[in-house]
Amino acid sequence: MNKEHSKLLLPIGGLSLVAFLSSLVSTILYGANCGSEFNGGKPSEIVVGWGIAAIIVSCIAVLGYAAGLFLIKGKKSAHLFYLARFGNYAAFATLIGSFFYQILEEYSLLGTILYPIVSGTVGDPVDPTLVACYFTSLILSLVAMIISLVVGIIVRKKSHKFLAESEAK
Amino acid sequence: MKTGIFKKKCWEPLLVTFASLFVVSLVANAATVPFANEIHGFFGTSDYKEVQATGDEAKTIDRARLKTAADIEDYYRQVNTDVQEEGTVLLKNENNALPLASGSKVSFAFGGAGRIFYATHGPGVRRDGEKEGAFYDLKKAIKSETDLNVNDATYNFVESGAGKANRGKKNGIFFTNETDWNSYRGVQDEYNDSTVIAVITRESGEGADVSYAGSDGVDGSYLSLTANEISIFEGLAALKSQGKVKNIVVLINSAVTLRCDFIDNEKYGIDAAMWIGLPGATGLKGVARCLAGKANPSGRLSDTFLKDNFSNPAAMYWKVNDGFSSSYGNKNELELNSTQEFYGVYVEGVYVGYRYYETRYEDVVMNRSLVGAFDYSSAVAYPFGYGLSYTNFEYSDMKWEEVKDSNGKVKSYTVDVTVTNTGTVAGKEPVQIYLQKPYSQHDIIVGMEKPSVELVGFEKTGLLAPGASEKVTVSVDFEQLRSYDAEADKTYILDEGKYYLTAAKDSHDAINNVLASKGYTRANGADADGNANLAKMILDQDEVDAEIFSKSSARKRIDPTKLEDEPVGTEITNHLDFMDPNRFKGVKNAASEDGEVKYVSRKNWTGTLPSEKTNLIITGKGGEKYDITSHKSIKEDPNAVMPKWGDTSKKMTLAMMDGIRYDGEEWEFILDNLSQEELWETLVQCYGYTPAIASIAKPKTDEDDGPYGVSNTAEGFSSMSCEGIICSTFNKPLIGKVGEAIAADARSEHDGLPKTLHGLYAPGMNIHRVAFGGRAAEYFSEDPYLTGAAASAEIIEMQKQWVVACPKHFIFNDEESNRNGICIWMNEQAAREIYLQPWEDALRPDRANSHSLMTSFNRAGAIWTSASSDLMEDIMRGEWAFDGYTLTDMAGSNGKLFMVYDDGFMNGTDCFLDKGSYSDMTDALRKSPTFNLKLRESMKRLLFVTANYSAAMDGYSASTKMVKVAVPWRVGLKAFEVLTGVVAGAAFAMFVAGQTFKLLRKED
Repeated sequence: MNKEHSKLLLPIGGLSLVAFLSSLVSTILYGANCGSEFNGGKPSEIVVGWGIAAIIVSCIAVLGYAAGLFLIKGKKSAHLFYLARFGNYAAFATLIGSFFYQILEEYSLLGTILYPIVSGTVGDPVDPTLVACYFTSLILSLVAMIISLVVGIIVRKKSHKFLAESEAK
Repeated sequence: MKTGIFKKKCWEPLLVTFASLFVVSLVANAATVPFANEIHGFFGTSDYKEVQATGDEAKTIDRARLKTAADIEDYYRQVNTDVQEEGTVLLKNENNALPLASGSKVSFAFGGAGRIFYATHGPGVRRDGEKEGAFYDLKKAIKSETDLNVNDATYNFVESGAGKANRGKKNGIFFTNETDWNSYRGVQDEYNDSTVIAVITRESGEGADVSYAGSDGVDGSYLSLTANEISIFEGLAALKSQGKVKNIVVLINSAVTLRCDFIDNEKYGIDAAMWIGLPGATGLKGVARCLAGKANPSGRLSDTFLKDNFSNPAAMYWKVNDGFSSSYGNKNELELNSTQEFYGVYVEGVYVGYRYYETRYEDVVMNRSLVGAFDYSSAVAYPFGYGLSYTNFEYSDMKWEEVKDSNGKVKSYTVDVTVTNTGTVAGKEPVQIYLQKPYSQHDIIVGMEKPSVELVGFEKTGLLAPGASEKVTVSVDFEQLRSYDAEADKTYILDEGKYYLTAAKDSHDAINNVLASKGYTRANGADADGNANLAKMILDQDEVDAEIFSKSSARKRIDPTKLEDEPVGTEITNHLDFMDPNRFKGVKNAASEDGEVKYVSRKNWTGTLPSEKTNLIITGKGGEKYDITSHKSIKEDPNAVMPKWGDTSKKMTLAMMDGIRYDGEEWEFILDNLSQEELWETLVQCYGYTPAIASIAKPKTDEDDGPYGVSNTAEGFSSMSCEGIICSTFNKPLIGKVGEAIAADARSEHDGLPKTLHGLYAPGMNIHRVAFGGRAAEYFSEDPYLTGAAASAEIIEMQKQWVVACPKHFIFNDEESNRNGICIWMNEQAAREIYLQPWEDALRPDRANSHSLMTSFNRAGAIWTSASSDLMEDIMRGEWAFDGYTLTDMAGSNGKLFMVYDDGFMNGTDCFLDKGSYSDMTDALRKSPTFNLKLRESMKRLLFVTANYSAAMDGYSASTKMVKVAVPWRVGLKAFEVLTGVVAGAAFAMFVAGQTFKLLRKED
């Protein structure tokens, strides 16, 4: 692994880690704190399911980059680097599911929050902790989604070059 | 083998793009389940097409006399104008300030003049996005209806200049943000030689009560004048004293009652004042006509206007408890969630609104013990029923007589009064009939309460020319004489003592008339000499009769075309002990030594008015009716047999059921046709509609919100005056026209929009028990009789248009604070005499015969109202013989912790305003015969109403079939899902193949 290679692998792995942690925290925040009067006290299983899927594939991507960085050297490292981006892609797709299902499944909560803004009246009170957790979870899903896609695209652009270099060696 | 295609770089981006789109398509398709109705509405599509057999005669439901959209719009706007004209209440008129002389100059002050609050948002009607020109602002209305000379500079100043309104809210508290007199410096000269129209506006709406503290009003509430408003009044008064301004006329633009201590304050120089409520789209035309004398105001107050909104017992409770809702003292210990932890107590009992003020006033005049210091004139600005006119009316020749039925029993009383216009202009006069029931020794002993006067009837004269007279006849039902004794006889009784009827101009006039007939005048401390000739003793009952009203007189409508001859005769007894903390030991008031809540009593006014906080704690005693948790266990009926599902051996369609008696066996056959899934999904998906059922050709019915106008319409005209103004007309035929106009609007296809409604969530029927109730615009009055009469007039006319009325919110949803699950505690006498009475009028088949109703978010005691069999079955169906269907409020939104299917269906709820699905039906529910028989009964009620009373059956015949059709947007979305899935899969395969070939080549 050359210097340029490792210089890139570190931030890429780091960003993937951020995406992984974001999806992890997002899913935990939603699953643990968003049971409310809007969903019968039980967070949506489908949202949690997509979240767990995103966590798993993000984790695979992070492990791939970590292995490429710390455990495996040379040509195999470049291959791992090359393959790990599919974890990012998969994370991107599953996070889309997680994000949009979070909106779809919690339309009552969203409606109650947005109603006073749209109507200009006070509206029903919503537990501020619930609002904070829900929106934080939503934003973290979005952040993880964007990071996952960006990382995947960057790695794709660079991986051919690294592969060629490692094969040349 | 050529492998070039596999090596292309496009597969990876294609894979990522289409895999992502595939996920999006999954979500989009999932969204079509809960939002199918909305998407259908948007595209104007339906999943079914009706197929008619040739030659089969279909049911035809006429659009009555209003045929076209233009007819409907014209009629609606005219009714809105007429209602506002007759509902506007002239509170004060001195110095001949009104009517304004022809051609006189009018100027404007206060931001409200430039930004009228037309209607509440959401469940009422939209106030923004209205069609161009549909709404009449003050300037446009005055210019259109009068020849007054409008001062544009002052209008521009309050509409868009420095004087404009910046009403708003901060941290959940409403603020007027009215500018002060300093900002008027640049326009002060513009007020010269003009009459100033000063508009004081207050907003309100769903979801929250208006602020009783922390706002910019001088008493901390949103309903008193602010310091800036006072500065403007003082500035205007100064101009008036300098001879620059001619007169100051105040318009109160608010559905919630303002603190009205300012109108007679000499510092402000106010000459005239009118309450205009919320005028809707064209109501200001009616106001303008009143201002200019083209119409003579004949509205009478539907609420008591106070000088201090905290002086009534219900509001005293707010003050001492820091708001209406409090948390249970042991909520943390019991780990109550946000839909369980709040409660409110109706400590005032029956003394709501004028019932408190007039009763205590009578007790002061009659010098009863423990009445305490009470000065009526310091408390009440304008009594209930009050209103001035530009002319004067005199009442004379009051006569009454009993009307007996064929068995010789008294059925009702008729009261005749001659009304004469003794003034100089034509006008209308509403005659109000009040009843005084005796406050007897029996009441004192058992703890019953008796308001000194209660409205029991009214009629309005026609337009009387000066000097003209009209004999007005008002009918008073004998049942109005009943009182509920929850303590001794546990039923309605005819109390011992003297009963008086009086014809009066307002509630205070009424009690003074009764006092006069008893010999009490100014000499005894009355504030006016009543007219003893207008108060008649109609009955002197020598002993309590606990039999006469103890059985229900309601008559069923088993045959949809006529009433049964005999009343149901259900025994009426206590059903609501469970919501009285003093009778039901599941809760206790830890703040009092005896653990009881102190209800206001005229036995001891000073000792019972709210003066200390309540601190209710849940004690855990009392069994199931105490149990605040949801999902109560279902008690299986050992005789219950699981119904048949999907048995089509007798193929039936809903159109065949038109006119079939409710007890007809045909109903069993048609219900047998349904599968469990069809039945369940129909009842739990009533989110603004009731779903179509293809197997029995039940059409989808569409409903919408709209207590005083259809919501969610693109039409600007669909905004009526608020309900308070509607009933302030005291004109039943005109109120009926409101029902007709709203229903016609509901059935019209607005400018081709795919919206033809078959039901309306209207009218709102909760009670104005305090000034701060956020949803006052959607409810009529503080008075149960006026509420019931107005609602009935509206419902009858709505349903004549084949629009199913769904009055709301049953019941005790009189405040908005923490409405999701708040526990309402009160005694049964108050519950029956104040809150349930108007519903009895609206729901009984022999009265207004509403075909459905909407329940509420709150609880009665610890039980969600919609899950209380006492309310939903024993009282509503048992005592009142209600035969329509019941629908929850938005169970699909914020009530999912307690508005649950099992509790609701088991206790009399028929439909859920929800987006549920069959997967929500647990195995236990699927297998319970008792539960499924309940569902079947609910479905029968829904089908009975639809088959017989819904415009949705228009064009249906016995042979109508419903055929599933391919809907373009459904097909498109499915195709999108398939396409993206296939492309993503193909891209993945190509990509993998490319990589494989690459590896193989390397190995080669």
